[in-house]
Order: sequence, then structure tokens, then C-alpha cells
Amino acid sequence: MTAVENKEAKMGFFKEMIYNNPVFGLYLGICSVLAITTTITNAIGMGMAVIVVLVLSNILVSLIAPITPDEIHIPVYIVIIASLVTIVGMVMQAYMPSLYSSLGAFIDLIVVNCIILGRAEAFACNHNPLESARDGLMMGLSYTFSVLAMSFIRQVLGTGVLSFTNPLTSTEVFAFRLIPAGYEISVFTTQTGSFLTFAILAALVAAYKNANDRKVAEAEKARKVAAAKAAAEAKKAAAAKAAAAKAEAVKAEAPKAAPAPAAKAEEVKA
Amino acid sequence: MKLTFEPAPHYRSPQSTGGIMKELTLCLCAVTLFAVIYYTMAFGASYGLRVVIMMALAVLAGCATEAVYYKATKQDVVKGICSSYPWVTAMILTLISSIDNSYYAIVVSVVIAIIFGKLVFGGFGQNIFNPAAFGEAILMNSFAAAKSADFATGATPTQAIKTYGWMLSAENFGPMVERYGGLGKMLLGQYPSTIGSTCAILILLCGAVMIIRKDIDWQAPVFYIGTIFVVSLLIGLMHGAGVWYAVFQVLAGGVVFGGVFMMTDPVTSPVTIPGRVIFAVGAACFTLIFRLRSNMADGVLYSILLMNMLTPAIDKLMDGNQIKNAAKNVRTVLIACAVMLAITLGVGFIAEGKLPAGAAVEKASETVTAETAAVPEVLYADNASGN
Repeated sequence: MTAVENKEAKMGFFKEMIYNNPVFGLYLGICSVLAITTTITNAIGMGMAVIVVLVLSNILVSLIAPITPDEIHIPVYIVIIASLVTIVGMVMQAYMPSLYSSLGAFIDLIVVNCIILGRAEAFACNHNPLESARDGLMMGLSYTFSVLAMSFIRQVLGTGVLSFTNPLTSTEVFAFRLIPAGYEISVFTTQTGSFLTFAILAALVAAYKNANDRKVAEAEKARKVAAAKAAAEAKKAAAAKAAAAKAEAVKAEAPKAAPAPAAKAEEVKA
Repeated sequence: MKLTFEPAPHYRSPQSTGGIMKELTLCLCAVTLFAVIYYTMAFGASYGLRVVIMMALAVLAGCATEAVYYKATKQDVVKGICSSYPWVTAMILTLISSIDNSYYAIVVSVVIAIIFGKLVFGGFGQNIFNPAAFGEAILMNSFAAAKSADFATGATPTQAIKTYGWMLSAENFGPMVERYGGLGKMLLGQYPSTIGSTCAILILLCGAVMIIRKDIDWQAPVFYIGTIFVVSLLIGLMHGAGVWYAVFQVLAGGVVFGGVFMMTDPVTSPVTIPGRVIFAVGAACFTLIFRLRSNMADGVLYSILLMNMLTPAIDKLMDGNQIKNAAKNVRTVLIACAVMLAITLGVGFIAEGKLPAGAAVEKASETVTAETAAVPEVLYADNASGN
């Protein structure tokens, strides 16, 4: 466990996001990802909701875990998560009605999103609140990053326009047309395109991981070979040294041999 | 005595994959040539030229995609392209799409078909779905809105009969098929539809040549077209239609083209002969069900894609020694086909013909006004291209 943690601590922010990516690395919470990544606005809204729920639920779970009987821990966590999701959903309905209506049921479905229960089970229940909050933020950010990447590709290829609407005021912040009208590939706005995009990105993440792992393994191997070489050389050197020392000792012994009996004699005398 | 050692399967056929593909390419060229001539004669030189440019761009895009892929994965580019036959996919895709699709749509569909339909599965021989059908599905779902109005050819027979729910009485059938010059002209391919799937005679001739040269098996096309004919004949009889209804079902849309060029794809169809029979009968049943009950104009494409998906299951069902298990396999085929045919006949029995929106007007006033009222509706009816 300490080794894993050390490895995680050593990884940079970006690398950790790729390696522990809940969507493309662990394949968690895919249902909402496939459904809501039609526009960047939706993706950011969903990402924010997941971050809030994830951080708060991780903190609460880590606080409550020590006093929860093991038999009922899943219902307890679910109740915590469901309350948080309800709060987030109501806040969203009050202040961002357009976003709330476009995300629809997927806000409520955050309750059963595997990422949140997964982190509660795997991390928050045996870590302190601060670490859990950091983990929740990290996971929420990687989720947001993943849905943003997917919705960027889908929106640009499917509609040709990259746009973002401020969910609080429902005003358009920016809108660029990246692909001229008539040249967009509208299949990317449908579920088919969603699966295609997901497959491409997951494959890219896996390829990056494989290449990186191979590099690390090679470096490790090279290091080991070098270490073995060094060890062999050191051994050789030691052997040579030992031989030299022996030879010296033999040389030294010859004159030493003479005074030794004398010393012994002295000892005996004493 | 000389003993030769080689790993199974021991290939006895004198035909190599390269030879088969060469002859298939020649057949597709013949169909293309017919399309160019027909469009030039019927609509003018610009239409004929458009077919040629579409075909050239598609083939170029297919080969370029594979070249980039092989370059990126550090393989031999020329060898890779020559053993992967991207031009066959590109040609079939062009032939089953309609002429009003833009060049851009064709190129993008070919690229997506080659990459996601074929290369990501491991290249030629590993793909699950017929790449051309996959690309055509993308084309129909992505670019239905971006059709070029300059090259409109009017409603195709499948779109026209779709407005009647694929179920016609004799008095409606006459005027409808008259628009395309009767069944005889449809047999000769003298009507607008998708680029290559019109001339049934030529396609069947190509199929016959390929069967005689042992490029393809006869089971898939014969059982596919035969099942469609027989079942639609029975459905027609249930509803008081004649033999012409079954003939129309076979001639309209992509049945003949799909049966000869797409059902026989050695990669995506079952390996065993009884498996191929189930494959063909299943595709025929799906085609008819889609035609009668779905909102697509023609079900050939999706029926082939669906059966492609079932191919591994069929192969598993028919696994084992083909000679020892012959009786069991025949029984399986009979049961599977009987179930599928019964379902299709049931669907056909409850299917009802409907009259298009313009038909009420047609009865009230003279035919000409109704015709003009019905045609735009037909043109913009859902995302149905001719296939």
C-alpha cells in the first residue's frame, strides 16, 4: 500500500489524471458520460455537480466510516450520496434551470454513479477527511476533464460549432464555427458517435499507459542491468582487492611470523 | 514420395484471395460503368461525370487512409494496401449510396468505414461488420441533411412504396410502378435509385460469373433473394396482391446488389454452408420486417449489418464436423429458418397498407396535382436514402 501511495505521490497532476482516470482508465460512470457529452455546457455542468458531490461525500464518508457497522455501510453511504445529490439537483434547478432541464435525469443518476460509491468504498472509508477531500477533487477533476474532452470532440464534429453558454444567466459566452455548415458529421451528436468517441479516447489512454509502462519497465530493466553490472564490477573489484589484500597479508605475514613467537614468549613471560 | 507439412487449414481451392478480389473488382467496375452510362443517358453528362468523380474520390480516400495507417504503424504500405483491398469497400459504398450525396460525405464515410469498420478490428479478415455497409450507415445517419439539390433524381421506388407502407393494392401499384417504366425497365435498371443497385440483370450476371468461377458461394445470394421473393409472394397473397408485388420487392432497393455483393463477403458471413443458409434467410426476414414495420425506406443495409453481428453465433451453432453432423445441422437450419419465416409472415399478416397524405387529394381532384403534392413529401420523408 505504501508503495502504491508513493507511486501516486510521485506522479504529476496530469499523469495522475490519465492513470487514475475514472472514465477512460477504470471505466466507471460511463452511462452519464455517454449520454450528456453532447455540448460543452452540459459537460461542465455535469462535471461541477460530480465534483461537489464527490468531495462532500468523500469527506462525510471518511468522517462517518469509523462508527458505521460494516453490515450496513453501503446503505449508509448511499443515503449520504443521495442527500447530497438531491441538494445539488435542487440548487441547480433553482439557479441554472436551463442546464437542469438539459441534463434531466442524469443529475439524479449521479446517486448511482459508480465513481462516487467506488471512491467512498475504496478510498474515503479508510483515510482521513483531508486526504479524502483531495481524492474527491482529483477524481472529480479527471471526470470533468474526460467529459470535456468527449463533448469537445462530439460537439465540434457533430455540429461544427464550439459554444459555451453560461448556465447561471443562460447567455452565450462564446460560439465559434470550426467546421463550415454542411460539412459537420452529425452522427457524432447521436449515441453512435458517443460510443465511437469513447472508444477512441479510451484506446488512446490505454495506448499512452502501455507505452509509458513499457518505458518505465525498460528503464527499470536498464537500471537493474546497470546495478547488476555495477555489483559484478564491485564484486570483481572486491575480489581483486581481497586477492591483493591476501597477497599483501601473505607478504606481511612473512615478516610478522618472526616477531609473533617473540610476542608469545613475552606473554608467557608475563 | 514427397511429404509436405503445413499448418491447417489446408487450402485446396485454386482461387487465391487476390484472384477473387480481382474478379470482384472487375464486376464492380462493370456495374459502375453501367451506372455512368445510365446517368449520362438519362440525366446528362454532368451526372455521369459525378458518378466517376465520386468513385475515384472514394477509392482514393480508401487507399490513402490505409496508406496513412500502415505508415503510422510502420508496416509496408504497398503490401498492406494490396492485401487489404480498400478499393472494394470504397466501390461498394459508392455504389450503394445515392447520387445526391456530396463528395465530402462519401470521402468521410469511406474514411470512417475503413478505420472503424476494418482497421481497428485488425484489418482485412478480422472485421465484424461489412465495412461498406458500416460506412453507408454512417453516411445515411450523418449526411441526410447535406444532400446536393442540384443532383436530385426524384423519389426512388423504395421511397415511393414506403409512403404506402410497402403494401399496395393493384390499382395503386400500376401508377406507382409506371413512374419507373414498369417492372421490365426496373429489371434493366432504367430508374433512379442508389448508384449501383439498379440493374438487376447485370448484377445477377456478375453474380453468376462469380459463382461459376467459384469466387462466391451460390447459397447466400440464392437463399437471400429467393426468401424475399417467396415470403413477399405469400404476404402479397394474404393481402390480395399478385406476383408483381414479390417481383417489385426483389427489384426495388438493394436486394439484388446486397445479395450478390454484400451477403457473400467471405469475412463477415458464416464459414459453413448451413450457416450461410441461416445467414441469408435471416437477413431476408429482417429486410422484409424492416420494410414493413420500420420507418426506414429500405431494410437491406441494416439487415446485413444485424446478421453480420450474429455471424459468430451462427458459426458457433454450426461448429464441428460438417459431414458427421450433417443431419443435426440440417435440422438446426430448418428449425431456425422456420421460426424466422413464421415471424416474418406474422409481421406481414398484420401489416397494413396505408395511403400517403396526398392520396385523398388524388381521389378528389385530378392526378397531376396530387403527384406534385406527394413528391416533395416523399423527397423529405425521414432520412431514407435509396438503400
